[in-house]
Amino acid sequence: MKNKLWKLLALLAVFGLLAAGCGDDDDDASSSASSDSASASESASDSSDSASASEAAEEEECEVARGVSDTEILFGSSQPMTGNLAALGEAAVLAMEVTRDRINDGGGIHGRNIRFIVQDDAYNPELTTSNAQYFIDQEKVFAIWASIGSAPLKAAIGIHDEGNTPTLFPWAQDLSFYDVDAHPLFFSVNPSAYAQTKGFGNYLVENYPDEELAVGLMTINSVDGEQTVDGFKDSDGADLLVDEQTWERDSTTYGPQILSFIDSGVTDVYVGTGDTQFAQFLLESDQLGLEARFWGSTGTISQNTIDLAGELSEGALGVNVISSATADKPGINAYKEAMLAAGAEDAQLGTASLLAYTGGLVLEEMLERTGPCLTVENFVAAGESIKDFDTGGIMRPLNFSADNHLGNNDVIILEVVNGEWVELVIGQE
Amino acid sequence: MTEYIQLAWQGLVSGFAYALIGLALVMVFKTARILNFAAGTMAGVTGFLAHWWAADQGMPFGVAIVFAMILTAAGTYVIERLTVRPLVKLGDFLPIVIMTLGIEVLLANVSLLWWGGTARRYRVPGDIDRINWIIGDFRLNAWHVVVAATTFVTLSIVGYIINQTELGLGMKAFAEDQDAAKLMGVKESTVSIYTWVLSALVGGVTGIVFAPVLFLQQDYMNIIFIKGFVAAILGGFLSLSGGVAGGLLLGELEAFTIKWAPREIAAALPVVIVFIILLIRPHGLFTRAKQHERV
Amino acid sequence: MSGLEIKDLKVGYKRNQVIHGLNLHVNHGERVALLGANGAGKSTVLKTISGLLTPTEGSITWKDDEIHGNNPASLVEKGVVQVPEGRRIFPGLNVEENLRVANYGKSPDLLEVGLETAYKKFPILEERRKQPAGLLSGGQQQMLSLSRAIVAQPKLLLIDEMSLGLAPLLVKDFYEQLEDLFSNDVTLLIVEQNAGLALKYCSRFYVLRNGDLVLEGDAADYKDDPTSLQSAYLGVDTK
Repeated sequence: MKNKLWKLLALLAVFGLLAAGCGDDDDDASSSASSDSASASESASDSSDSASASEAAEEEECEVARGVSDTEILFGSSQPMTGNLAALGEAAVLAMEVTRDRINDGGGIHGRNIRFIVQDDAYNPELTTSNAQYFIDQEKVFAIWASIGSAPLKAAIGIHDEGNTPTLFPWAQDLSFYDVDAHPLFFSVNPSAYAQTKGFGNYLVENYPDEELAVGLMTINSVDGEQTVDGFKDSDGADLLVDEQTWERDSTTYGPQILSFIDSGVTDVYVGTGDTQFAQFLLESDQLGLEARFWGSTGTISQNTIDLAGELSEGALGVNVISSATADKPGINAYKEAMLAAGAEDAQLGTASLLAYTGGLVLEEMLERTGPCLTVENFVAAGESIKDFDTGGIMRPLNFSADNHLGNNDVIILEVVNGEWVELVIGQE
Repeated sequence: MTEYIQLAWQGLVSGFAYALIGLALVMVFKTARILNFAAGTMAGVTGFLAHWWAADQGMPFGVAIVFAMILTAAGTYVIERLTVRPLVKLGDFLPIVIMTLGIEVLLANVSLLWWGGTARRYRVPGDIDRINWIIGDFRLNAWHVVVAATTFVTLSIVGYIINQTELGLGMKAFAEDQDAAKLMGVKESTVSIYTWVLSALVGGVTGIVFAPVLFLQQDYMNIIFIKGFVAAILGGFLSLSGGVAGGLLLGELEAFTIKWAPREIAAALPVVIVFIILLIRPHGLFTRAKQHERV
Repeated sequence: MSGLEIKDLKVGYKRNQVIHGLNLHVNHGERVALLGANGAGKSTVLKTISGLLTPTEGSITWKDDEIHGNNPASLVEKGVVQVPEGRRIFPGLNVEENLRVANYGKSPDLLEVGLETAYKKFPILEERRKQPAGLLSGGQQQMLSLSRAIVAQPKLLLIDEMSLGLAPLLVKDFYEQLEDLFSNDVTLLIVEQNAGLALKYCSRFYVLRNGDLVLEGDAADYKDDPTSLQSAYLGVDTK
């Protein structure tokens, strides 16, 4: 029920801008997309030659899944290689190449090298589904790996399931994916907005046992926002929730929401916005006299928040599910080193590549644990057996089980200290 | 009680922005029958220039504002002469609208190249945007007072120009009946150019005073533009005071729906209410139906 | 002294030519009627003289000054004033604002004189000077329209079907007032469908049909029998 025809008209201007701004990028992206996939197949065939004499041939014969040969495991990946999100697709593919090369250079897994094929979907669900068909019917891949996009994946995941094809570590976070009964072959380390607030609720209860907490949530007025609220309601902190507010992309002020939070006497406010909105929220809270702890969602954790809100950002907290790509931690450092060695630019060190990279670490572990008899069934069982998997600090330790294929269930908490986001050590104040 | 006053005040402050942009849009539409889709972006460029010169380039704040306004007036003059005027002579509505969209895209891209895509916050003199007065339970932000005063002064000046000067008379006559006005000796090109410049200056003032409220972002005035558009529609798009009243009404609607409506619909409710108002009064709240028939 | 002179005038909207080579003159101080049926092109001629339209060919001179292609505002400065079809007052402007528009771009002293003359002639307008003109009655709107012409101080007054939509009594009244208000110094070109009225008031006439001049003559010759003009209007041979 939104009669926004005129809005649409007005926004034509904005679309026009986007179209104009991205026209040039398209060509670059498509050419690099083809070269990426070309280089992917080349390097894979090179290394499969050298690996052909490995011990794989000596293993006793056992059943293996489609896309698995004695020397190779084949994956497909549907990525936005053209269009607005092409930069994300490129970054993810680079991280996949890093993973592939690491595994293959180390002699493969149980004698098998990794190979993957990238198909462009331009973030268009229709293309994602036809890519899925192509991967399964034509290329006969073992699994779909590290695709980007909730909507595209939502359209394609049915085809994956039907083709008995695992969906591995995508950057997609629709809540429905995490339902193991519906999608038993789905594995992820990228939690939904739901898991983020669930982790936040648990964190509050665990870390402020002596305080009387009253929590306010401000979420975007959309399905994502609903899932954010649901996550908190399913957490240990559900009873603490006293006020729920929404915002829209076209909100110009959060004053009314802040006044409501003041009215309901919140001690903690979770602000599910981007960084600019979070900064504005902090300023307006100061104007209107809301005194509380401010918790920003992943999108708020940036230097921009600090630049915009100035000293008001001091003490603001951030709820994250994945470490910053610039943090100094062993896992992050290894990631940075590998990515830069593979020719990544600084701009490509971000969530898209970090998620694909971390997924690659888990994928390697899953394949190792499955053993030589790589069937889908064995692979899933191996995944479910992973506990306390250490990512070197990229995420909190990962835990999978038969009824939870989302390994990443804990949050990383950051705080602005002296004008910088600093990660809090869990368990300490 | 204070709570409601506070809420109403917050709504009013947002409403000022919608009202001013609504006014700027109606002004051009009323006299020239042109929908200026670049109004928001033009206002944003003025705001950017003023604050950038003042905070980044070390110009005194007042001087920077005057410079930005002069540049806006000159720029608008050039835009009107080079792009709008030749198309007006051809007489079709659509090419002009597309032209204003084109200007929007151009300005948006230029400011994106110039200032980048991330939001910025420039300090205002004395950091008055950080001063809050507390009167009982009521909290008053000093910059919001500046916003209110600026709005009041701007509306007064526009009111004076429209009602007390020959230019305003020409604008009004032109808005009512273009041919008749021409036959009385009102010069179309003069009225058009002054209307565009005045409209751009009203937008520019809005851009400048709302930059500290919204942060300066390449597209920070686009949302205000959309809301101003709604305000103008509410006012019937042909009434200057209607555009202003529509803006203030929209601001209050937004504030109080968040207070009273359920969370799931609060954010969308103002739009729905506007929609219902337009169903009941298709000509807007402040325009006579007859006025539209003449269009 | 020469007045208005139109030679070989051709006017069209886009590709559709409306006036196909008109020749017409109005001497200084003369009152001439331009007659014709609906759609004959009369209004187009007036709009071209007053600068709303630009001719494709031909010339218009006023007092030996070529004026075709000038914009309306500069013509108003030269004293060429058109009273548009209907009354075309500005309904949202108040009475006095309507009159002030008629003085647009001219000295305020002239406005004072014009207002004084107009208010003296029509006291009701002075009474209602702050009211929106749209609220005036039909007759009062007509007064306002005439008053605008007074304020404009025309030298060449072009009147386009002012009788349109007015009660016959008021129309008659209007022509009488016109006689009163403007001295012999003002040259008049009147477009009218009502030939009887126009002939009574004017000395000469032209009849247009489908953009062509089909008849011209002295009003006196037809004054007693205006219906005989009908054939010229409609293109029916009554002989």
